[in-house]
This record gives sequence, structure tokens and C-alpha cells, in this order.
Amino acid sequence: MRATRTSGDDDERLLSRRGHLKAITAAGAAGLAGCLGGGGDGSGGSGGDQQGGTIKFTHLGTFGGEAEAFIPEFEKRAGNVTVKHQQTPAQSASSHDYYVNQFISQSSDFDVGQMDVIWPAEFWQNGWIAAVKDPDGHTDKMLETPVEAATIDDTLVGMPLYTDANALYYRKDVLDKYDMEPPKTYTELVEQAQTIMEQEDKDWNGYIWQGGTNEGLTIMWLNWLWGMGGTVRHDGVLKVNTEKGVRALQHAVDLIHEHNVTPKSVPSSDTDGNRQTFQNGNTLFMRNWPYAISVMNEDGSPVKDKFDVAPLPTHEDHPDASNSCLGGWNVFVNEFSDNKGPARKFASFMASLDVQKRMAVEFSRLPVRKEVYEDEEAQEKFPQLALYKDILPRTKARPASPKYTTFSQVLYTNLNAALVQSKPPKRALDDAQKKIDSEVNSA
Amino acid sequence: MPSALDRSADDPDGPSGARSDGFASGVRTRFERYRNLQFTDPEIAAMLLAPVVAYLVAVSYYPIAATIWTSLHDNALGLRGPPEFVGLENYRSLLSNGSFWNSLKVSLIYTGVSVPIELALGMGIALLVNRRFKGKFVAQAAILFPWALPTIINARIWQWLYHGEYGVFNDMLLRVGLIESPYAFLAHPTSAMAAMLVVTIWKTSSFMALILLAGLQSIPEHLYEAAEMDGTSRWQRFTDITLPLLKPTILVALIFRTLPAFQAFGLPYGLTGGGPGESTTTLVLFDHRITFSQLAFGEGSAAATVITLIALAISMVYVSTLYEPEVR
Repeated sequence: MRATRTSGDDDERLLSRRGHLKAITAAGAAGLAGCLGGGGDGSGGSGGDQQGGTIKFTHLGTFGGEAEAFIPEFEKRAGNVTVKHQQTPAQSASSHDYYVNQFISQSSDFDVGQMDVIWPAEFWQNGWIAAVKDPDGHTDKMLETPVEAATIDDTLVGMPLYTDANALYYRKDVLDKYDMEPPKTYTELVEQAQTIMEQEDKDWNGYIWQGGTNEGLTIMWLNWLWGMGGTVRHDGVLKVNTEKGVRALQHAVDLIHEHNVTPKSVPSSDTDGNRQTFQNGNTLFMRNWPYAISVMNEDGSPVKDKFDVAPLPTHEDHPDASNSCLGGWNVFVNEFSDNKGPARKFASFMASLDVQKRMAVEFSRLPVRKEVYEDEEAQEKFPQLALYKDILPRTKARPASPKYTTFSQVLYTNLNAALVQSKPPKRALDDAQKKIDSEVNSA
Repeated sequence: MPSALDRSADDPDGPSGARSDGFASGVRTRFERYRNLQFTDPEIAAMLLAPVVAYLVAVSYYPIAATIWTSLHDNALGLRGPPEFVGLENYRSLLSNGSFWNSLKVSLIYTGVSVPIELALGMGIALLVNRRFKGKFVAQAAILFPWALPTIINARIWQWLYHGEYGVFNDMLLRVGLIESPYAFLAHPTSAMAAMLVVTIWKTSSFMALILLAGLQSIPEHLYEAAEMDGTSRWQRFTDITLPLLKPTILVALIFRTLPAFQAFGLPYGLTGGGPGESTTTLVLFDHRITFSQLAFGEGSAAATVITLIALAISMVYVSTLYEPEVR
């Protein structure tokens, strides 16, 4: 059935076809070249520990100001290194998804990144991050907990950047008006909020906290659990449906539906959304991380100089219980980076005394270096620093597990369902436990 | 094809001659032909199709095959030693996962409610825009606007509109006096789902309208004129002329909307995060979660395969009920 086109009449058509074929081949080659070119450029060669070049720093959405401030400083000091930067969302969980995606495709798109205190075990054991180096001995001068959290198998896998602790934000002006001290117990908080909400003309939110389906809710629940003297570790396995666990969740549900001090929108809120609500000026109490202090004290903020922070309350039977969750972030070096030398240099730079002090003073980040807490200038410009120095020893770390993300996701989804009264607290935690047993405890 | 056959018969150097000379000379003449860039029709066709086929293999068939392969293995990424073949184990654990069934339910409700409403609204918009009026072009461009906005941006805009403290909707309802305190739209399972449906219907009805409009414009005007002369009513013309002739277009529009609705990800991801609880966690959001947050790639791929199969089944149902080969 084949037809060969060799007769004279077809010469012209053959010629034009030849032209087409050449064009197609050329286009194909160009396309291929384009593909090949795309992967190679940008990172500059394959050298392991060269000291110059361009590196890219990926950081949290809420770390943008710091990045803008410190990158030029680093470039000036390093001389021959250029740092580009890009950001991931403000939420830890979405940032985690981004990094995992990049690592799985062995991306060298960024050289240094910002790692939540709960990720090092997972990232290191999967071979996604390279060890950092500390030639200047920064870690010797740091708080122990952040360094421990970044040390896996005796290797420092991330350079501690800042630590985090929870505190209770309160409207100082309003509490002063009613001659109240910041609450020390859960009951006190509810009573104060109810009193003020009743007496004021304006519509006040009593107490807002992270109730949406995200990591913040896991932390909230842990705070309440610890504040009631409970724990999730029982004989090496994670248990959430304990009596205290149910009580902690019941307390959260009651804040919304029984005491009416927490607005019904809280189960769809997250950390920075809470900050925005509090900053708008009609909220009495909020649980949040330290970064909110500097943001809410910026010029033009409706609550500037009207709020302060205090340690989170606890249950009245456990006044000395841990009432804060250890947070914090590290700088890690991407294992697939072609430019690890400058990347490590950058990580080390972020832990230097100047940077740590400026980060505390200008951005209200809790420094990882002990000496900053004693620094008079820092204390003066970041008055809450002394308070956090007292809160830090009372912080507790989230359970370390390579499957922590699964644990937390299962937990906060079920906690959230209880907050909107889709499930009673006991059933929510039983459901969570069933999944935790099969997906986390069995691994 | 007949012309090619004729030419082959006239051609003394054609393949029929070469074949009789045996295999070796067949190869030689073939090479000579190639050197002169002379190709048979099937050869040209193969060459022209090759880039497309290669492209499809690379971006479509390979990923599908890789997903199926992954769904049959544990530790498919090789993070803890070599991947291990586990048969249908991932499917078994998927099907015993309550969250999977919940997300399937969410996706079915989301699709089942949004697509028919979109079709009805889209038809209405298309009929309106198809009439002759001043500024028709502007109207056509305007109806496309919601659809042209990226989903994730839509989700964020609407998240603010629905905000439980100072969203625009709460503000309006409070001012009118319909509610006394702000209502947290996204913090109740039912209203969160309704809120999500409103956004997707708002966003994609216009897309539906655009496809239907193309179909409407291809219906010959004289059919309507003839029908009018026969004294038919407006409604009769719609049911007897417009609808039957629009059937293939409706099929395309339904497939184009049902499959993306069934695979919704961006909207719940950006608007509700799947919450409260898991009440707006769609299938793909669930799959994304177990795959990229929990790193359960095996189970995630099993879910992806199941989603693909369901999507395939939906398209089959549409095609078998709506497709009429010789309709025009």
C-alpha cells in the first residue's frame, strides 16, 4: 500500500516538504536546548565549598522584613556573594509542603531555607539537608534547647535562627481601667473577659487563639493539656484520648460555646489572622508568638502601646505547669545545592551576635544567643525580652517523631471538628487516636 | 488515499518492485529514498506525529504509569532503602481510611450541586449574551472575568468577603439588621460548604456560558425564522431547536466542568483549608495531604489512581448518554 513520491510532478512538493522537515528538526533542537539550558544555570558550577557566587534564601512569609534587613549586611561582609530571596507562605504546614515538593525533585532552586523546629529529624533522615558548620562557635553561646532541637545523630543539621514561645497578649489599657492584672488561671481569664464584655458598650472579642485546621491548633491544645498537668507521651507511644486530653479540648469548646468569650470565627482562624484581628482593636486577649509585638507596635497600628504580653495562664491546680510550646526556626542548607560554601556562611552569619541582637530589637524575635537576654540595650528596646527569658524555661517541645506532621494533621483536623461541634470532644480524640495508632505509633 | 494508490501503480521504482528483489535491496532502496528525503505517506505521518506522541508519553502516559507503579509499592521514593512491592496493600488501607470516604462524599456533593446550577446559569447568560445589543463585546469580555482570575486568588478574595469578624457580607447583613452578631461563614460545616459552592458557581458559570455561546452561534438563523413562520412559541423554539442542536456543546461543557469540579483543589485549599474538621476536604485535597504532608506516597498514588478511574467513569457516562455521532 506504500506510495513513493518520486515522479516529476511531485518534486516541487518534495522540496517544500524538505523545507518543513528542516524547520521541524530545527525547532525540536531549539526546544531541547532550551530544556537543557533551564536546569543548569543560576547555581553556578558544581563546586562543593567554593566561597563566592549567588545563593538563594527561602524564608517564611513573615520573615520578609528580616531578610531585607540582613541580606545586604551579609553581602557587604562576604564580599563576593550575592543573595537572592523568596518566600513561602506564613503557615508552617504550607511551607513544609513546599520544601518536601522541592526536595523530592532534588531541586537546587534554593540553597538555604528556613526550617521549623519540628522538621529537622524528617529532613535529615531523608537526606534532604546538609550539615551546617559552626567554625565561629556560635552554638556554644546559645540556649541549649534550640541547639538540641537542631542536632540529629550528633550532627548540627540547622543553624538556630530564633526561638519561639507562646504568651498571652492582653489589652493593657482596658485591664487597667478595670483594675485587673493579667489572668493567671484559665478560670480567671474567662471571668475577666466576661466581666469586661458585659460592661463595655463596644462589641469586644474576649479571647482569640489559633483554632483553624493548622499546626497552631495542635499547639493550642498541647498548651491546655500541659497547663492541666497532662502529656501526650505515654510509655513511648503518643496518646491523645486521655482524660486530661478530653478536658483540655472540652475547655476549648467551652470557651466558644459555653463561656462565649471566644468568637465563633476562631475555628477558621490562623496565627497571623489572629494577629490582624487583635490589631484591629476590639480584642481583649490573644495567644500568639513574639513576632506580633513589633508588628502591632508599628506606626498606624490601632493598638500601638495599648497592649502587653504575659505568660499564658494554667489550670488552677497546676500553677507551675509548662504553659508554652517551644517553637523556633533554623537555617538549613539544601543537600542538592551546588553552592554549599556561601550557603553555610550565610547560615552562620544569621547566628552572629549583631544579627541576633538586631533581630530581637527591631523584629521582636527571641534570640537564640544567651548574651542578648542580658544586653541592656536590647532589654531597653525590647522590654518584653525579660518576660520571655522567664517563659522560655517553662516551654515544652512538641513530641519528636519523624511522623510528627501526620500526628499533628490528624490531631488538628479532629480538634477542629470538635470546636465546631461536629463531634463531641471524646469522640474526636478517640477518632484521632485510632489514626495515630495505625499511622504514627505503629511506624 | 485513492490518489496515493494510483501513483503507486504508475511508479516503476515503487515498493512493489523493491519487494521482489529481496530484503537486502529493499533496505538499500529505502536508505536511498531516505537520503533524498523521499518518504511514503505513512512515514511522513509517523514523523509528524512523533513529537506529539513523545510529548504525550512524557507528560501524560509516563506519569500515569509511574503513579500506578507507586501505588503498588511501599517507600516508593526510596527514602528508606529500596522500594518494596506490596501489591494492593495501599488500596486496602486507602479504602479503610474514613477520611477517604468523607472526601469522596464532599467531592460528590460539590460536583453534584455546582455543575447543574452552573449549567443552568451558564445557559441563561449565554442566551442573554447571544442576543443583538449594544456593547455585546464588552458584556462577553465581562462575563469571562471571574473565570480568568486564578482560583487561589479568588479563594483569598472570598475568604476576606466571608470573614467572620469584618467581612463584607457580615457588614452588610449587620447594617441591614438581618443578623445581630457576625456570622462565621467558614466555621460551620454546612455554611463553609455552601460558601465554597457559591464561589465556584460564581467563577465558572461564565465559563459554561462561553462554551454554550459558541454552540448557540453555530445554530443557523434560518431554522428559527422558519419556526417562527410556523407560529411556534419562544419556548418551543428553545426546546425543539436550541436544545437538540446544543446537545454536543452541552456534552463538552459538562465534561469540562464536571471533571475539574470533581478534582477541585485550589478553592478548598485557599478558602477553607478543608475545614472545619474535614467538612470541605475534597478528594484531591485529601490526596495532596496524605501525599505531600504525610509523605504516604503509596497511598496517595492509590488515591490518585482511584480518582482517575472515577473521573473516567463519569466521562463514560456522559459520552454514552449524550454523544450522538451524526447530530450535525
